[in-house]
Amino acid sequence: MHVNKTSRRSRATGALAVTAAAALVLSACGGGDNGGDNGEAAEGVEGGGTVSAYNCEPQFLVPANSTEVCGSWVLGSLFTGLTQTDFDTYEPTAGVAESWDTEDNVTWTFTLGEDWTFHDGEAITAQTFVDTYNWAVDPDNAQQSANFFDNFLGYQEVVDGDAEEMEGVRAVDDYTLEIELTEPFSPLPDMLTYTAFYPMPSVAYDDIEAFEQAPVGNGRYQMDGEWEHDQQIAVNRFEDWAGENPGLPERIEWMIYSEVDTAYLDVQAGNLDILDAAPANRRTTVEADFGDNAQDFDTSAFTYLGFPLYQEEFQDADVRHALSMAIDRELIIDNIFDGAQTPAENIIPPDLIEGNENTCEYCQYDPEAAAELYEEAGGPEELTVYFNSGASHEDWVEAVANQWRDNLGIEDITFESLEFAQYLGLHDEQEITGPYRLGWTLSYPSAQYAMEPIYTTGVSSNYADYSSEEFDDLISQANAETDPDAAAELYTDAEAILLEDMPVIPMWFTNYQVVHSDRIDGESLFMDQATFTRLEQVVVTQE
Amino acid sequence: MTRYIIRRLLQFIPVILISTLIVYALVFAIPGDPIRALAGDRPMSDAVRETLREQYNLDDPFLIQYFKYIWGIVTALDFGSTFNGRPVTDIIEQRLPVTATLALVTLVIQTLMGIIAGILAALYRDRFFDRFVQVSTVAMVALPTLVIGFLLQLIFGLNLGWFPIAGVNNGVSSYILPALTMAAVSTGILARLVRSELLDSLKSDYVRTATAKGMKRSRVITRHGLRNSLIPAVTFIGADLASMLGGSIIVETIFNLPGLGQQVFASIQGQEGTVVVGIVTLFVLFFVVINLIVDLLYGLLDPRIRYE
Repeated sequence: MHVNKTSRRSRATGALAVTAAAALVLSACGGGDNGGDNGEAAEGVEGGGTVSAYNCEPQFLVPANSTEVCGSWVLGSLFTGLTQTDFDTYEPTAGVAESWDTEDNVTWTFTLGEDWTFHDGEAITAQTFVDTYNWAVDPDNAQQSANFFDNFLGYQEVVDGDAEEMEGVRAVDDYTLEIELTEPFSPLPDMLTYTAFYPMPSVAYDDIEAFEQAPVGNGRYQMDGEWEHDQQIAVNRFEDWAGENPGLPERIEWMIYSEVDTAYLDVQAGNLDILDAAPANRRTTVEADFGDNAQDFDTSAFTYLGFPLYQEEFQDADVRHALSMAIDRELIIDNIFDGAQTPAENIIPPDLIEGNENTCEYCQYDPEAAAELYEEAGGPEELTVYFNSGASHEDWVEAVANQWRDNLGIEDITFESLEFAQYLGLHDEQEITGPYRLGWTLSYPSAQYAMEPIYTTGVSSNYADYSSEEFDDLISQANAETDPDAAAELYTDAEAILLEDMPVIPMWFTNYQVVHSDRIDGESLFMDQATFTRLEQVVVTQE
Repeated sequence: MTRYIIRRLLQFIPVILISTLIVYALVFAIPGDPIRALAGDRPMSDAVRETLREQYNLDDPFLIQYFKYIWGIVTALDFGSTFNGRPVTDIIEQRLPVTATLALVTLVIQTLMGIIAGILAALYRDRFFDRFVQVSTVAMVALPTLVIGFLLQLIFGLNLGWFPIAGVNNGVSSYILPALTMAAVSTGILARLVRSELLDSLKSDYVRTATAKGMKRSRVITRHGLRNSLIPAVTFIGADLASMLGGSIIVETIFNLPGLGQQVFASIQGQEGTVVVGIVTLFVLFFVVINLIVDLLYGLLDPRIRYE
């Protein structure tokens, strides 16, 4: 997911989902692997039953074109990529590929299972992936996620129109796929779990628009009828799915809402089973409304305040440290989010396998030291704070500004609240003149993805314009490292540099509160790092 | 009469053209690149962005864009499409019935409730029912639509369970709460309007004459009092029906009805100019047609009115 759900979804619904500090993630997924044996906790109905869930209207239902949560959530049930994520450990596990191998992190060999078919019966071979990947990067098809392939050998040639196909994706035989990259990239198996890498059947290329209305995939579920725009998307379990842990519910119905508050009432009334993001304004009443039928989940959805390092006054790290130390995150979280965020002490989400004990020295609230440091460093006396409008950021950004005013004596603080499109435009043009809010959600669970796309020199999402040779080197080394433990350590070192240099102030990781009806066993609910509730492992206890 | 109608119909053309131009210009004036926003925090590649911008004529200057849009309509009946490739005509086809149903149910509710309450209040002037109508209509007019909507959802949807809270999967009953929400303000205004008009006309000379001639009271009220006091009410209902499409933006969003209002809101946010123009033009067309019908209805209600 490119899009930070907190900004995107709330732009669509007018409400931001926030949830209470939670230690429930481990207990919620404990005992379960990807979704097989959670049924022990409660008696599920025969056959698995039907579960209905809130969703927003997807933009697209073509894998390589889906960049937002609403569509990617649905696609995740319709498709299975080469690899999948094991949500107990956040490690990649077998998908269509049974195993994979590499010696240098550059050339990867994937051995595919031989039983995989699409929902229409078409067999899946290595060539399926070759065709899909080449189609996805073809500029004529204008797929929004095409740049996820940018480290595949031959990507640039295809984009430039110099080649029809990427040299780096090859079908060695029916069930052996070779992927060659332009440089070593150890998180490839993680990355291949992402939506953009799902295989597409040949029928898709004939008429992609028709395909999109009822995508034929190879996932645990298959479409029942067409995508009913703005109303619902229904899928039934695909009984010939070749993976190891098929979906538990027999049927999933995504009910599409334009207003999340309405969905909240529908869950309360028992008309809807699952709302994966209870709206912020309901925080205080969730317990009264739902009692035990609510679960909190930590996610990787990271909110930060970045600095435009291309502006001179923010180039001194002490200024950035002082601004960070002058923020009392706990106070803001308690007062504005009713305690429902986890203060960020890291850049890498702590739940990931590479999550670590790095401590963010400058994330500790210390107003005296901050004031002193700010004074010494000659920090700016006036600030403009930027955020995107209509996504419930006003309150907390203002609270941060008040703390800066009180603790650092910055009297003149103004706000620029802009529509998302305009906001991103200003970033692209480097016209931001003060701290800005942005977020990042991990499309695939890897420390690499938590850092490389945002902080490496010159990459497209590096809005801070941060550049550190040492950091870049460590990321390259980690990407090249074949031993996972050693790689994790290198990522940790890279993170330490970010926490020291502080191109962005880590604010918090968002907690989501999932509310559900009495028909659902709450113990079986689990939300993954990319904020998707894993519907395939939900236990339905009543017809 | 026929000439009058033809002249009015001809006037529609400039109205429609100018309104499309203005709406198109307004959407065009929203800052920021909509294609850029489509992909969210992580920028899409330049190649993809350029392809999409070209596909939607976004690189052309305003007048060229507008001209291409009109040209598409005139030559190929192509009303454009959303950024995810759905033709505007498909969207209107899918959503118009929802909004039309909502408007119709609302119209029935507000006309029946408003006129009946107004008549009864006038006939029982200063009695309990009159006072009740006066107070309750003030509340209906004063409460914001949002509040009324949520209250109805809570009481009749959640607590009593009489009507669905959201969606359109339950036939006409799906539309009752949204229609009540949308009808609230107009019912209030209409009731007060009918009440005061009827009181006025009951005091007029022709009513006194009719009564003096020995006509039955019920006939005096319906034939003479009511008929004459309905002209402002019809004007109001007409104007209100036309503006209902605007009100549908809020109500359709709260009650999750996949109608045109919901789409306009989403498309303005997403800067999908052609979608906004397509739907708003439909609203405008509807507005002028209703106005024409209202003008023609005057003649039926008041024979003194002539069309030239």
